[in-house]
Amino acid sequence: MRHLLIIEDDDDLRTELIELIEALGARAIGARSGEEALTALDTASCSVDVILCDLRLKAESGLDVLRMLRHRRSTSMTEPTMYLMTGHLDLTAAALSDIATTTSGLFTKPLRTATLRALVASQIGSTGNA
Amino acid sequence: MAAGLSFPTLAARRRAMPFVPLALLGLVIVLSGHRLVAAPGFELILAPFAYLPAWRWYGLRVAIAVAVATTLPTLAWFGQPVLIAAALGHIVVVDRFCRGDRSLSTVTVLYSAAVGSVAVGLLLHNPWGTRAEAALIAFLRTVLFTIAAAAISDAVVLFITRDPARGGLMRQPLVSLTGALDALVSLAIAGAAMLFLLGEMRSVPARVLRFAEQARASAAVVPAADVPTGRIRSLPVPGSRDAVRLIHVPQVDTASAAARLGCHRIDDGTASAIERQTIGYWLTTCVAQRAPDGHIAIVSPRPFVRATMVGVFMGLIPLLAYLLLAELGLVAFRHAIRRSVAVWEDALAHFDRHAPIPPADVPFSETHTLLDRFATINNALLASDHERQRLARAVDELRTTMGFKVFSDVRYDAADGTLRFVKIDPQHGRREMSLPVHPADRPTLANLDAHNDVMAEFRVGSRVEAEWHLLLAHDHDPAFERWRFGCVVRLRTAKAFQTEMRHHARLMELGGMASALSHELRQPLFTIALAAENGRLSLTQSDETSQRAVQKFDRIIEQVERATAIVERTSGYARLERGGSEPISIVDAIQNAARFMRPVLSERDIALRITAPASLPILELPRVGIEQIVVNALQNAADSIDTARAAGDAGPARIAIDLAQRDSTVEVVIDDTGTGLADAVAGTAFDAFSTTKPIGKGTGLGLFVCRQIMDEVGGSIALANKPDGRGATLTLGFPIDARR
Repeated sequence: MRHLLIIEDDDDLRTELIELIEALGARAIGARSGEEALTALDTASCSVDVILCDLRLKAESGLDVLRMLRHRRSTSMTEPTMYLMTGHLDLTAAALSDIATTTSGLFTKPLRTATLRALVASQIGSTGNA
Repeated sequence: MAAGLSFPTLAARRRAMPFVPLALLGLVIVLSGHRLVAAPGFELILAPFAYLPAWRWYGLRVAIAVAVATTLPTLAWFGQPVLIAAALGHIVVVDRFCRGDRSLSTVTVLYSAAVGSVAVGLLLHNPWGTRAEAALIAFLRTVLFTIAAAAISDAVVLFITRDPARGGLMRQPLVSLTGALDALVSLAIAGAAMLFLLGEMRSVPARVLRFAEQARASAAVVPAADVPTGRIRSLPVPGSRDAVRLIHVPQVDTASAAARLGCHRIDDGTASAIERQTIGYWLTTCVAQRAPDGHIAIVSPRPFVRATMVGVFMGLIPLLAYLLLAELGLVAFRHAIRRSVAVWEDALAHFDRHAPIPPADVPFSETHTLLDRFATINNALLASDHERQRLARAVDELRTTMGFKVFSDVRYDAADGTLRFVKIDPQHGRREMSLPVHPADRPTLANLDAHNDVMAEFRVGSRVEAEWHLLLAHDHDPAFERWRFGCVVRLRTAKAFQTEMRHHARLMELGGMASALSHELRQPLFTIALAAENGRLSLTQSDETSQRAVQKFDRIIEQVERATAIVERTSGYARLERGGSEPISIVDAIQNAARFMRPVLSERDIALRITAPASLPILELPRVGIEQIVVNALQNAADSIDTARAAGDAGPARIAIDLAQRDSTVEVVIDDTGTGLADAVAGTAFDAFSTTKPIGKGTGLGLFVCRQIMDEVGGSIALANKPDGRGATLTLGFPIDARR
């Protein structure tokens, strides 16, 4: 069973997303910020396979959070696949290129159920793209 | 006695006496009393050398006096008053006809031709028993000598003139070209003719004497018996083409025989040596020779003398014809010079009137080349002058319409609130000038940084509606606290520019709105879609109610997808409205924005100062977008200043835009003296729909759009409170290798 970490500052959205993921047959934990995400990872009962993070969090950038998590994770853990999601379409080429080097892919909100299903069923590989 | 008035002292008068001319006159008078013989029968009459220049220098009366004074002494040796009469006649004719540039020699030629012939007539009438040949010789001699004297006088007065101050003589400052030519030609021809005549007259008497001796010798060997006594016969003379008339008479009849041969006397040794040297003597004197038979042979050499004289005259004729031709040529030449001078005067008149000089026909190649060059230069100058005037008019027009002034040595005098400078102007040269600065703008000018390039906007005068001016100052001189160069332009906001700017602003706002909406709506749409999916999944029963609920959730999901598609399409517009990137100068973009905002700032009495280094790199940026960022920043700053004022801030309101290059970025810092940023909004200032302004005043999209644009160009944007707590600072960073 896949284990997902959802980092999203919008509470309603995060709750619904976790619910749907679990309904699709995976396990999901949520976090509001980078700090919460770090705690969640430390206290998680098993290793997290996938991290899905909002690009523009209230006080920080999702990209920075993912970079921080990658830096801080313990060596024993398997490397989770990291994805970003955003409602912004007008990202610059420079931003997109930064995202491509740090993460495995960027999803545009709203994510389709089919996309989520593929993410949960690990049909999207650890290096796959959206 | 007034110091300015003074009468000439005796010494001064003595100095003023014309010593040189008086001395010359005395010399001529003394010499005229002596018979100066250049050749036998060729006496020198010096009077014309005195009275002709005297007429030129001192006028008719003095000339008449001089003429009388110099001709009277000739009575002593000539015995007749004819020379006095001739001199007086000459003076009168010269005075009557010598007008304008006519020379003394020309008039003298005319006088000699007319008056001289009367004299010849008188001589021929023979009250003194003169022979025609002798009269002619005397006439020719006088005419040529007088003409030569006139030509010499012409030459003298060309170079020497009367000194009007002292009455003496001085060097002529300017020499007349035609006068010089006249004098030279007349002198050359008349001189040549006179010298020819003089030479002939020197040689003729010797030849006559020789001939007379020959005739005497021939007559001595002719036997008297061959010739009837008292009969005139012709006798060939050896060595001569001409025969002589010979008559044999008894000794007592010699006088009457001589008379029959036309002689007044016989050359019997009673005549003086000088007399025997003259032609006149030999024209009226016979030679007597005693024949072997006791008769006296009377021989007249007159035919020989006459033939010799004819030879002399014939030799003179080509010279005289040449003289006439030369005079005619001179007339033509003088006319050509006059025409040439007239053409030059006309050209100068055109030059004086600043008119183009038309091509003219000048007779002389030298003057033609000169005139041609003069006309070409003048016409080219006129053309360039017209061009200059046209440019000057254009500049004047520009000056009046734009209030454009260029000057040097610019400084702001804080003491009386004036901008002082030195105006350089081709008409007035260097002028110190000043402009009174509006009291509200004085702090702006007083706080100008000592940068090499400074821009500041200020108003002239003190009225509220005073026009705004832009000061550009360059090359700061710290020693004198001034800028070496500067200019002021009256700022006018063109209507078309305003409209365009406003149009862009509206489109940007729409674009910002579309972009913000798209972003803001995606989040709730995602939540709705997820909730619908979860709701649908939570319905596990397959009863009818559940089936209907599943349908409802499916519809919600469908509609969310539809809304998402609309949002996606809309957000595409936002980028379109910002236009494409192009190489721009950030300073220009900032000035455009400042121009647009000027009325707002002016109305609210807010000073704006822009400072930029002399050169900044040209960057590839969306011009419209950058202008809109600055417009937005200025609007926010102005609104913030308003709020501060409403809260009781009475300090000077000021916005400063400073440009600088830092490593690989061009930094634009926009400072204001407003309220600054409340802590509560510090984190969300760049979010869409985030505003602290009252409802209806701001959409909350300004900074959101600004951040979007800066993101697009790969730049940075930051908003912070100023360290002193008064106002906020918006910092924009543009990468120099702007990534596209």
